Amino acid sequence: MKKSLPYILIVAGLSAFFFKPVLNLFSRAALDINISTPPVIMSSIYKVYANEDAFEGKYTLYKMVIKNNSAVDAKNVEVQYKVSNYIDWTIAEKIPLILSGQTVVVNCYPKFPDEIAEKTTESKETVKLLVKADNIKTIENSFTITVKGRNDFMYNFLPAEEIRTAAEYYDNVPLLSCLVTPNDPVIKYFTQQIQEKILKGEVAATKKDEAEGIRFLKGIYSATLLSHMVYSGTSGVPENINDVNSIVQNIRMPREVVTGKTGLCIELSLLYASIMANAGMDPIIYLVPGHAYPGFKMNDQYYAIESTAIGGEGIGGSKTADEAFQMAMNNKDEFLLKLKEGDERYSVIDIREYIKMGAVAPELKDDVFLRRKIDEIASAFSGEIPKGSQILPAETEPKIANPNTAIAQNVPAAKEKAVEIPDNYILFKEIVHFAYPDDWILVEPNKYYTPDCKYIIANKARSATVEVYKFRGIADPQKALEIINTWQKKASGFSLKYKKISVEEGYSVFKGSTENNGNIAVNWIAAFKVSDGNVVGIIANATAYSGNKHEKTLMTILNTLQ
Amino acid sequence: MKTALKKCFFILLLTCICTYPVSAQEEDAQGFKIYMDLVANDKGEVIVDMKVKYNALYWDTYKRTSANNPSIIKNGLIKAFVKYSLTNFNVRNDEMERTYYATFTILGLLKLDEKGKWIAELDTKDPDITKISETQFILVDEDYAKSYKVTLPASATNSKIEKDAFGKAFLTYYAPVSSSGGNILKYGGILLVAAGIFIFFRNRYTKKTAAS
Repeated sequence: MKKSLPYILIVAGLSAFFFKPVLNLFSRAALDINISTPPVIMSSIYKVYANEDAFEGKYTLYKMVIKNNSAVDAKNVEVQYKVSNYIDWTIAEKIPLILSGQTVVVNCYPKFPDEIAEKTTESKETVKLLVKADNIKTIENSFTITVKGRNDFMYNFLPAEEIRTAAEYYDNVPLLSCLVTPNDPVIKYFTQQIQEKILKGEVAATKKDEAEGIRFLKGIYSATLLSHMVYSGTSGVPENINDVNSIVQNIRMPREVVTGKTGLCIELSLLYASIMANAGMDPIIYLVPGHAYPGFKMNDQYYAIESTAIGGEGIGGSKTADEAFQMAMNNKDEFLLKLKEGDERYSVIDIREYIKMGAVAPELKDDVFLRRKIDEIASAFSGEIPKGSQILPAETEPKIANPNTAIAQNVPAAKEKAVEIPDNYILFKEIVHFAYPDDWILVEPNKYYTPDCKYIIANKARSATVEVYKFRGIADPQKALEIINTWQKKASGFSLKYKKISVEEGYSVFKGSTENNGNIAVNWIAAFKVSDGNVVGIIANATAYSGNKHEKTLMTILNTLQ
Repeated sequence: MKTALKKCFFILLLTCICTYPVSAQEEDAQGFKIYMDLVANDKGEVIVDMKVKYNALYWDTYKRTSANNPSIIKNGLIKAFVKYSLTNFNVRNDEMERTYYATFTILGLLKLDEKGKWIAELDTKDPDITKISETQFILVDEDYAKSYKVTLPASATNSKIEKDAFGKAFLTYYAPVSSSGGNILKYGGILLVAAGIFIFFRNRYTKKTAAS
């Protein structure tokens, strides 16, 4: 025994030393995989998916966490995938070695073909997965995913119950830059038409001249006016984090907006951004709850225009380019204030910044038919801009502050239903139309009002007010009052008591009061109607202590309501 | 890893500070201090130990927004490290010190190539990173002058910052790869062989001495 002990020890030692390498040679490793996927694939951002550096690799087809739970190292691991109808078997990643106990993460950045940009309807696709290695049993897996049409935009990929903040709700907003298409041949052609026929030449980007930039902005507005483009008037941007119905929205490409001659606020903003980017400017889009408007930045200054002020004959007519510019510049100040207050619903989409981060537009092919449409549209540009108009080059009319009424004069005046405005009353023209005393003032809705309350106009003593509401996605005026009631109870403990008294000109009229434990605080009359799938209308009210002092005024307001 | 640190920093900003008016941020840009230790183990896991100390104003905001719901911090970190897998979260508040401590593990941040080299993407072209020893690096945040410590496994050699053809920076090092239990067997085997050789020669020496 004593003689053989050293040999036993040497053999045992060598066996122990070589155990692991030999085991690795002949044994199989076992890998556990865990796959997470986004809820949908948005075909308009297919170039973002293909770029693993875009937004720090956030947008993937799937994320696979592979853990080697065996005692054997896995060698030459290869993860492959295939997407039905789009991508044949492709290697997502090759991993030379996964140690026993090691975890690796494979993010799949699929290169969808350019044809996906033509996809207009949604489909369900199957993604097949293979995990192979020299020493594992091949793992097969698959999942189904919805591929959205190019016009479907999802504001976030989070489950509704996970959304806590506005920032989370608008998580995908930077991807709107993918819908800015400066290199689309159709948009390029449209831009050329504006530069040639409306602006008669421009040097905004090359000279970095702010006045030229403003002239360009107004030139685009004029082009939309002259081409009889109209604002669709429905919601373009979700309004608040409870706006679950708006998470997915249908947003048309800028070429579709130009040739279709109609657009939502966000669509018009994307069109402006595309044209400005094509002209070499720095476009931006201002996002506010329920609305968006375009602008540009130059020399650290920000400018904006209310692109939806083109309105339409059916929705109250159009504003001039100067009025649209002034409207947006006024809104911009309020916007900056909200931004400063930290309201996450207010944000700026800096198109070039997001393009740098990887939000690249889809490849769009030239289209002879669409070019012809542009020709037809652009024929309206010729000869309609009178000399001296502010849209003409700065050499002709250098002062940008002068009101430009010329363009509007060339546009047929919108037909409005006549509203008889009593003396000392002025017309309110947002959401609904009505007249109110000219000494009443616009006040900010506070926490006691639901987010559906868009405007409040009150007398100086605040004893009488008109609240203007727009409830999105609701088709029942009664339901709108229930929403206000629920909000009031939560915010102040007060509740609403009311009854329907009539239906007039499409408006359901309710008479009611707001009270707490039988003590009436406010008496009011509400008039709500359904418009474009939303409930819109006003509540005219007066405090209980003011008695019937304001009754006549409130009735005048209600009588002018349209 | 620098990106990882910056991300942590931004997450803190996002979860705790963004609710403040801009003016407040301007007045008190140094309302918090962040200390971070990142320790890489021999399986390529990175264990993060983070300490965030606030001033009174920021602590109030933190308490209001996140202190009672540590999953907010967790979700923020998961979103920030979206390419990787995060696990082993633990968040603890110290009211008296106006400090919170968070620990978590990042899986998949370090990758092993076929030559046995560990690689961590830095996602930047010019990292402010200083090597202080073969296994330790200090990262400096140029905007806020804060330092973070990265510790590599004790067996790490030839650690350095490398750049690829596109100018992207990586932290790389070599470390002997070993599986669980592998080292015990390996070194146990060497010991047994050494013991066997020792006994073999001792027996021969004893035999020779006895024969003479």
